Amino acid sequence: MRFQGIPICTPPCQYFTDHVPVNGEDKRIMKKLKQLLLATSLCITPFATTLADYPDQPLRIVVPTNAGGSVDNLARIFQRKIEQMGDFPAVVVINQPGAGGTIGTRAIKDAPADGYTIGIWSPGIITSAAMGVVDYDHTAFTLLGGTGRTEIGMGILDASPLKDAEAFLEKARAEPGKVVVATNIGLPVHFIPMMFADEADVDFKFVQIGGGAKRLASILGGHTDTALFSVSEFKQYEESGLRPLFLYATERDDALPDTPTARELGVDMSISVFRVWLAPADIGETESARLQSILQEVLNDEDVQKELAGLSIDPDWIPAESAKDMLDDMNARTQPLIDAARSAK
Amino acid sequence: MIEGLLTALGPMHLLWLFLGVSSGILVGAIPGLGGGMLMALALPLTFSMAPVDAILLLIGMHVGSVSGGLISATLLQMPGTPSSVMTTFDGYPVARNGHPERALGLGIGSSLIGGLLAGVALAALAPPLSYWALKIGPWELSALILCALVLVAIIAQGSMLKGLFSATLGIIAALPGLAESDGQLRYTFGSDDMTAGFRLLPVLLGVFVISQLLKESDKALGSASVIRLGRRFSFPGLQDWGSHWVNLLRSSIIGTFVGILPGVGASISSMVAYGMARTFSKTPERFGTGHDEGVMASEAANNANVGGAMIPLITLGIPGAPVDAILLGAMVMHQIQPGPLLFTANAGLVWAMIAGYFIANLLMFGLMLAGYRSLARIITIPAHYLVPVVFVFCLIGAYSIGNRLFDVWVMIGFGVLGYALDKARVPLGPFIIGFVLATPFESELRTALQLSDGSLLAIVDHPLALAFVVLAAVMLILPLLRSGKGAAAPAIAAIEKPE
Repeated sequence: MRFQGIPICTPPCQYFTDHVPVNGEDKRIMKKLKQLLLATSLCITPFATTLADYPDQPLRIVVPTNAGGSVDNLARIFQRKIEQMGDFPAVVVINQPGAGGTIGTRAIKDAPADGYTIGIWSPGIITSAAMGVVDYDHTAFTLLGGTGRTEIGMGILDASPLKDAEAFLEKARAEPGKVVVATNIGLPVHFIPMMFADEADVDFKFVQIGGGAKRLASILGGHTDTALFSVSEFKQYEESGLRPLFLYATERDDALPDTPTARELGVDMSISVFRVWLAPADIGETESARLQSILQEVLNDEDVQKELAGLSIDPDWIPAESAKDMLDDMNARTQPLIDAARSAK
Repeated sequence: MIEGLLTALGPMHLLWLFLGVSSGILVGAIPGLGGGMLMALALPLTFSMAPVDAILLLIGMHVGSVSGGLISATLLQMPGTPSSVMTTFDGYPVARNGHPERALGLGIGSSLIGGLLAGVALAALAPPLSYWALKIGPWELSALILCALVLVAIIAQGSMLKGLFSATLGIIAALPGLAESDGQLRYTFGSDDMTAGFRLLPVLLGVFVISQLLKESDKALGSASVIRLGRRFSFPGLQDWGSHWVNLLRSSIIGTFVGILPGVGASISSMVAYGMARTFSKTPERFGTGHDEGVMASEAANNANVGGAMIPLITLGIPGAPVDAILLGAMVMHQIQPGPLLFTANAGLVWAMIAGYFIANLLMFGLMLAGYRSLARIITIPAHYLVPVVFVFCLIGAYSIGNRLFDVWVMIGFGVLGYALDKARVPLGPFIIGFVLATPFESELRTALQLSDGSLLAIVDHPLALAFVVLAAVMLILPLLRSGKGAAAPAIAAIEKPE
């Protein structure tokens, strides 16, 4: 009698001796490997399951930016706490910057769906798809949830003669195409002011300036008029000469009680942003549930809450369904603007 | 201020600073590893340290790594960090001519001078300088980068066609990936990995290090000529420094100034300084053949850049260079908000940072001085030991910047290209200058044109930008005028000469 296991086993085993798979990047090998594991668990040890042992390997948190930025800082707060909690033998942050964060998000998407690779990113996951930089959006992932929800709004040089949001809007209406918005073309800092312009029926001039530091410098230097900032950035750069004009919030923010909302200005638009926790699409329900509860537990910790408060980061957990709703909404509002966004010179 | 100095001089703080500087020099000297990588690795450790210690450690690492880069640039013609590319052009020939100690001495001394002069600007002029630098917009930036870009033509003198060919290849290599000016992909040929383009570190390692490793392996083992060390202690004397004070001061000012501008890196500052030094030199023809002035310009500028980049960080909370973003991250995690308030709210810390920066430069000088005679012996290590070790570090360095194998392949690919170019006697300097400058020049110019609705004439509203363009023209034309017919003849000869 021919032993059934051998024909299944032989080809994948050769992969072990001939080519060592590096970091599970070779999907084909991983697939074979999974088949092998499946075959082994089915034929040889029918009662042992890999799930019972989860988690017993290190957790990788992919951050699609360089070290030192706000997403990276948030990821590292989680890294330290999860490591302390002891569920995983180790937790590492892996920075994979490039191409508007898509190098990192693709690495998360293509990682083995074993619950050992997750990642954190922004609503840029929607805009990169809209710009055609990638052919996938948030629906290509298992969303674990969200953190760090923040209100955002437009800021201006404090010394600007435009005294308030009304004066700003008046100028934008009176002089179409004259108000210059500093952006990073094709990212949320570009699309969100576009949504406002659309709703308020004004015509901004969008100019590519670059990352947050460069946008701020450009506003402070008077090269551009306004740009999108978060509430914590407004607080952070208050003394450097940045003044909030209005927020895209549904109501005034406690941290900036004097700053009106777009709605108060008669423009019916509100949006807030957050960091979304991502896992590969095929992750098992057990792993997904476990990761969600671990991430949520991090936020219940008193030290973490203190740390987040110090960084003006909202400590509330956004459940996966709400995160999905927010991204779906972002997506729906981004779609009509695609042609205009892609027309930058 | 005194209080800050005393803080930074506390024995525990000094220990962290020492640790930072020495580890910085070490990774800086190893091609492949760099300060950014070291600081990113150290970042999680700093979260549990006292704020002053954390910041001093990172400052020490930054100062050390930028300085350490000159060691391998000078002795092996392999830039240890991207900022020491220009040092290879003159530092290595000096070393090769039998004076490795003198070459190192020139680099170490210039690094100290550049570092300290930028420190003076940091301590005395930080607020006005940072506000003034804010006035530098896209027009001024693109014109400034143009000043560095004309360097290509300057360096390529002698074989202009090959130099321009090399620069063109460099510019082409900078094109693929996501173009930030319009948010669109270009020249990725359907490859997902190409969407981020080719990064500086793997390209630099490939062209300057891997190509040389290939060249070394090409030679029969053991037959490589060993350089004899000079018998005399030859640290450059006061006379050497005194006669070049204008160059040192100018290069330090350029380094500081470029450092303040966000998004323009240390390699650009040494390129501009090198180009200026050559333009205003009495002996421009000696640049690239082992000229003291070239080493001084490059090393003074790249160290001054470190101090310059701290100016907008402390005064406005804007990191002047990518590695300063790591410093900013460490400060923010300790709930220290850099900005105008920092001077009043946390003056002790500000002065400790500034004092720490000065001490880091002195420590760097002391450490390198103590070790430079033995370091110089690196040049005598046979290739069959050196090649595998350097190759492994390059692999680690290329992989770690983005945690992906693609960058390793890019490095190896550009290594083969560099090797082939070198075989065809095409200079590699213009390649890397074209590669480094193409992206910032394009984005700044396109931003300027977006602001002016596509009109190049709008530059007349920006007198400083106009001045930079005139300067670039002077840098381009002056050497040609000065040498008259003499310059044209060898250029033609080089083209006609069959290789």
